[in-house]
Amino acid sequence: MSIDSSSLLNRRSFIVKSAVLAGVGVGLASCSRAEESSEPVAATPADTAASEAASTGASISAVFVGSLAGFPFWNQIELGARNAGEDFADLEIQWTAPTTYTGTGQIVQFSEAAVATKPKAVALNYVGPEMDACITTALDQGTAVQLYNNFAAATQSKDPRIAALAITASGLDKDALCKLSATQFAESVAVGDELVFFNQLPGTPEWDGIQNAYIAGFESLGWKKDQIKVNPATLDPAENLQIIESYLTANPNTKGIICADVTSGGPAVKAKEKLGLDLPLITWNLEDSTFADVERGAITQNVNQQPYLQSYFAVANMYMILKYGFVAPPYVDPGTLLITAANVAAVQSQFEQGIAG
Amino acid sequence: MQGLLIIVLAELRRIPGPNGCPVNHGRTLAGLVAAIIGVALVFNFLSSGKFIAESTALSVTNLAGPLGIIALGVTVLMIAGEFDLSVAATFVTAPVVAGLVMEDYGIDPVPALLLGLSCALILGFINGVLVVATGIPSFIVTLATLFVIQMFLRILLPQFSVEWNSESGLKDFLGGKLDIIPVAKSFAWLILLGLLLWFLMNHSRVGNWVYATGSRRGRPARAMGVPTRATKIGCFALCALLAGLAGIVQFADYGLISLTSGSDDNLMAIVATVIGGTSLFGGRGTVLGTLLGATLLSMFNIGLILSGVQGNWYFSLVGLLLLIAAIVNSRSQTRWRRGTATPDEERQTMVTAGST
Repeated sequence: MSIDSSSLLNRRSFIVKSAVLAGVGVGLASCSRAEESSEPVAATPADTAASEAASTGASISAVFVGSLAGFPFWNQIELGARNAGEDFADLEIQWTAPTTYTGTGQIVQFSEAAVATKPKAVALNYVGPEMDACITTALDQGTAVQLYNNFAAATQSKDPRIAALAITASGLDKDALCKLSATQFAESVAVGDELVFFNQLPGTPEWDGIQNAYIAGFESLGWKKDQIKVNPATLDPAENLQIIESYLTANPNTKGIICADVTSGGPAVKAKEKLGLDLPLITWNLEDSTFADVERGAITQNVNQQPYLQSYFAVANMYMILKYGFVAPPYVDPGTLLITAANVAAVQSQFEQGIAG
Repeated sequence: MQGLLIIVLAELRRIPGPNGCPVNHGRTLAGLVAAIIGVALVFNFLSSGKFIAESTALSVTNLAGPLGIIALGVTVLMIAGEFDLSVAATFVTAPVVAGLVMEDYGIDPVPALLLGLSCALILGFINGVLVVATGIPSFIVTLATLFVIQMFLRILLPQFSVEWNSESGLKDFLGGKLDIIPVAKSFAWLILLGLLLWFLMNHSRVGNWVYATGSRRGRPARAMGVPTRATKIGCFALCALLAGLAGIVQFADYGLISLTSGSDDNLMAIVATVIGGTSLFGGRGTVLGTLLGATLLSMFNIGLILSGVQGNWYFSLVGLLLLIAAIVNSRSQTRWRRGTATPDEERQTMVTAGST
C-alpha cells in the first residue's frame, strides 16, 4: 500500500488540530470547574476544611511532596505519610515525588506543581531559599504549609510567615544531629585526626549542609577545619567503592570516614576490607547489610533519622491544622537515633517491620 | 591484548579493511593513546608515584569496564545517527530482573541473566521501533522511555537494591579480577566486546550499513538500497543489550545493584564516545576510540583523587575534554561537508554507501 505524502500531511495536520482543540476544551473545562470550587479569600484553610469536614463529612485532602521516590530514606518518608493518612480516617494524603535526583530545582518544581493544585495543606521539604516563592504562593492562596525533614534554613527567610513555619516543622535539626554524631564518634578517634567526608551530591544544599554541619561539629570538639577533608562521591555504589578505595590509598593518614548515605556507606565498608584497614566509620540510613556491619564493628555508628516518624508527625500536624484549626502545631523532633553495636538489635526489628530506613 | 595491539597499530597506520571499509581514525586514536600515556605520567608525578600501581590499574579498569561496554553500544548507535538516553535505566534493568528472579524464585544464574538481557534487548527494540515508526528525534523518545523504565524499576524494586549473594561460577567468571594481571574482568570483557564490534563494524556488510545509515542522514544509503530502518532498530537493540550486559557485569563484580547504579552513565557514555572520535552527526566513529575514551575518563576520575586534587574538578575536566572533542569533531565535519576532506575520508563516504 502506498501513501501519498500530501494526504499523510493532511492527516497529521488534522490530528494536530484535533489535539489542540481537545486540549483547549479540557483546559476550559478545568478552569470552569476550578472557578466553581474556588474558596472565599477571607477563609483560612483550617476554617474551610474544618467546616467542610464537620458539615459534609467529606475527607480532608493534603499533598505530601517527597524529594526522591524509590530511595530507602524516602521510601520510609512515603510510608510514614501514607500510614498516617490511613490512621486519620477523614484525611486523604496524596504523595508525589521525583523519581530521579537532578538537583533541588526538581524538588521545587514538584512543590510548585503540588501547590498549584490548591490543596488544603501541603507538606514540603525546605531544601533552600528557592522554596520561598512556592511557599509564599501557597500561603497567599490559603494552603496550609507543613515543613518536614529540612527546615532550619527557613528561619533566614525574608517572609516572616515562612520563618515561622520552621518552629512548627517535623524534622531533625541537622546541625544538632551532626554535632551529636561527631561527639559520639570522637570517642573512636583522637582530636585532630584526619577525617574524610564523602559527599555524593556536592553543590546541593542538603548534602553541603550535612557536610558543613559535620565540619562545624568536629571544630567545636577541637578539630581544625582542614583536618576534615571532603571528597565527592556519586550515587553509584560500585563507582563509590573505587573512589573510596583510591582515596584511602592516596591518603594513608586518614583516621576516620563519614558517609552520609547507603550508596557510599556500603562501599566504604568494602573498601576498608579490601585495603585491610580498621578505620572508624559513620554511615547514614539503613540497608540490609548495615546491621551485620554494625554488629561486627565495620560500621562504628549509623545515623538513623527516623524518617517514618518525621513524615508521620508531619501529617499529624497537618491534620490538626485542618481538622481543628490549630494555628501553631508543635515542632516535632523525631529524635536522632545513633545505632551502635549496643542498640542494633532493637532497630533491626523495626527495619524488618518496614518502619525504619 | 596482542590482538588489540595489532588492530590499534593497523588503525594508526590507516590500513584499510578487507572490504575497504573506513579505518581512517588514525589521528584520533594516536591522540588518545598519547593522551592516555601523558595523563598516566602526569598523574603519577602529581600523586608521587601512586598512579602507576597495581591497585590503580584495578580501580581504573573497574570503572572503565562497565562504562566502556555501555559506550560501545552508544558508539554504534551514534554512528547510525541516533542517541539513546535510556541506557542508564537499561543498565539497571537487566541485573535487577536477573537478581529478583534469582532471589525470589531461586532460578539459576544462567537463565536469570539471560532473562535480564532479554529484557534489555526488548527495551532497545522498543526504542528503535518508536524512533523509526514515529520519526521523533531519538533523544526525545529515549528520554521518555528513560522515565518510564525508571518508574517500572521503582515498582519492581521497592527495596532499592538487590544483592547477588549466592556463590556461583558464573559470578566469578563475569566479575572480579584477572589472575595474571591487575585488570578487572569487566575491562577484559570490554576489550573482548570491543574487538568483536570492531570486526563487525569494519569487516561485515552490517557494519557498512551502520556507517551508511548515519552518513548524510542515510540519504545515499537509502538510494543504494540499504535497509536503514532495520539497521537503526538493530543498533538500538544492540545498544540496550550492551548496556544490560554492562549492568550484569557490574552486578557480578560488586554483588549489588541499586536504583542509582550507573546514574551518571547516560551522559558519561556519550562523553566517552565523543572523546573517542565518534561524530555527533552520525556516519563516523570507531569502537576502539570509545574504548580508549572510557579508559581516559576513568583515569581522570581516579587520578584526581590520588593526586589530592579536589574531586569536584573531575566534572570540570570532563566538560573541558568533551568541549575539545566536540570542537575537533565539528571542525572535522565542517571540513568534510565543504569538500576539503582527505582522500581517505572521501573514499570512506563512497565506499560506505556503496558496499552493500
